[in-house]
Amino acid sequence: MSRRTMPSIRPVDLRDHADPERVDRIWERLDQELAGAAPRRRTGTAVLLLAATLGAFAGGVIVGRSALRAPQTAPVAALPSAEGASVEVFAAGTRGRSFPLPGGGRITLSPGATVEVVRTDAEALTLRLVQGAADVDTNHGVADRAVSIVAGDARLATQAGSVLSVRRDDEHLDVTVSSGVVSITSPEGSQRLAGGEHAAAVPLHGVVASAPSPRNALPTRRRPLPSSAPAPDAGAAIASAPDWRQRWQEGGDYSEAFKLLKQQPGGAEGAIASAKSAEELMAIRDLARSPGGDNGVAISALIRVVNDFPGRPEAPIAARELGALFERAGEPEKAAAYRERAQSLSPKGFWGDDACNHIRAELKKGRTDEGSRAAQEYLSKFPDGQCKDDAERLVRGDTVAEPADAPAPSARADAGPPR
Amino acid sequence: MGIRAQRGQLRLVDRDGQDGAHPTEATTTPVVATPAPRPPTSPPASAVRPSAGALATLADGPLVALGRQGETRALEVLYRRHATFAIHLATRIEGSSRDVEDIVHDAFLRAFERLGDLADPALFKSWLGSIVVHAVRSRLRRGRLLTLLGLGKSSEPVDLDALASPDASPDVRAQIAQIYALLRTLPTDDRIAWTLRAIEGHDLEAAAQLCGCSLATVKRRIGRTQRFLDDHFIDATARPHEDAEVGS
Repeated sequence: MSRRTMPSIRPVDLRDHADPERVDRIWERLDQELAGAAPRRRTGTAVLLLAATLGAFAGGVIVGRSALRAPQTAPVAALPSAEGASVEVFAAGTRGRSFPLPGGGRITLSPGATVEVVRTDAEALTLRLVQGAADVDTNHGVADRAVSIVAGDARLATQAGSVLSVRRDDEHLDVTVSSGVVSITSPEGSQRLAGGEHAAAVPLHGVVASAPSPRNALPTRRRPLPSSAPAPDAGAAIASAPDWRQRWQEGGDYSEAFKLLKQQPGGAEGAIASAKSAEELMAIRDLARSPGGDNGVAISALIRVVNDFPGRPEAPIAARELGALFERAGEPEKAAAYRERAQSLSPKGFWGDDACNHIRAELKKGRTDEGSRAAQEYLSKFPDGQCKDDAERLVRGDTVAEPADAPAPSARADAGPPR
Repeated sequence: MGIRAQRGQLRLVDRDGQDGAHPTEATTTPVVATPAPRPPTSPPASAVRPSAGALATLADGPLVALGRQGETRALEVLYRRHATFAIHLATRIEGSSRDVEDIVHDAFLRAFERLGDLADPALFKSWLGSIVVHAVRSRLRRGRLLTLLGLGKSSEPVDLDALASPDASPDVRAQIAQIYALLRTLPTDDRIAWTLRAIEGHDLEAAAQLCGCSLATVKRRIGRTQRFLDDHFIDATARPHEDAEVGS
């Protein structure tokens, strides 16, 4: 954490809100009012203003009296989760700052800390610790609400009512629990901390992943997880989860596995919320994109991969696939945002995705010689790339099945049946 | 240009409001558009009922004159010409896009209803800007008042997507989040003055005019805010040796 003179903000770094739809929308309102408005007289306005002031005062008195009579134990309502909600951030300068948490509770940021609100609804509150340290007090929050704090690949999970402190640097996380129980999942493994316990130097990134800088948090527009189904208790979900995985891995019955997935506690969304790894989420994505699946579920799973496992190799792939899915769904803004996110997650490339596409394109055109040459080049550059098997078969002269409808190559593209 | 005495101050006014100057030039030389009773300016005879295409080529002055006569198409041209400016101004001052449509709508409606008060029709844009600033300031103050009364939220997270471009780097997005979080702790007038100068890029005179205060006052507000931000901004991306360089 360092200080220096504040940088200037370049206009190009600021968002342009004057999109044509908004401009048209405002004009439509104006046009209607201009067409229907009679010339206003200031005396009339003054009278109206006076009447409105008196009315507001009277209303305030009535509301105030009724509020005082209302029971003080009224539960705090969680903020609703809005589709396409924007990214909200808590930030502090040199002075620590304290903010009320959405839905109840409080977060106190140490100087220089930044915390992003990833998800907030009646079932869950997910925060991302982007930098610095924060004290989180979830007392007075919505009862039974799951509270998560994400930092790198590490994830803290607890329930409303817990009090904890977290601090991160580029590589590690320190956690101190004052009250409640906190589960920590990190590339190192899982552990549980009770009140008064402390975990130091929890690694934020796996050794395999090309871990992005923690500064790569604060992504562009993202969508919170759909909250149609209640988030299940993580322990219960783990205990009852293997059915669909077993059906998928052993039987290869995608349709049946997807049905079983939907029967998990909390349904498919519950399975997504309780998934512990990017690989598990990608498996859900494969099922959801199989015949009889649900693209919405696939999108939810992919979004969680991007948001909660940004250091995993699957993250840029998921982001890229989201870009393709949103493009296809006619949402170019989201598509562009996720493509950009994919680029930021993997600035050096997509583990040979482009090369994969090249190989497949050559095969599609019937140019096996060129495909073989590309495959050899691919294997030299990406010996463990996702197209490794196809490339090796191609070099050997075997026939390679052409993948159908691959909007964005995925690490599990070969595992999932084409749609 | 001429000089007109108003409210005990000497202010610059443009002698010819219909000289065909492009409207965007108005804010670069911000001249006051203080409400002053003035008979409506008649548009040129050839522009009494101009076509839609012809309207688009007119400068703000003639459009305002047509608007005063109830020519809605002229108002639409004025609106479309300055809507982007108004939307950006409102969003960046308020630090949120939540109320931007209401603010811009109300500002334009107020401006169109009071076109007769505009001393110099060519300065429509800067006049509109001051109305937008006033509207945002009223909302911000109302929010603070509600907070004091215990009816509002004492502090809210920064709506980063409303402020930062999707193309901005994560570092820059983090910086913007922190700057706006710090701005929220400052008095409304200081925050507005600094935003107009440092983010919107207005010169001091324009910022003063948009704020409706004197040049000295706006300088004081901007300086105070800048010092606060310099003192309290923490850049997590700066490396220790950069600090040393800055400190040296």
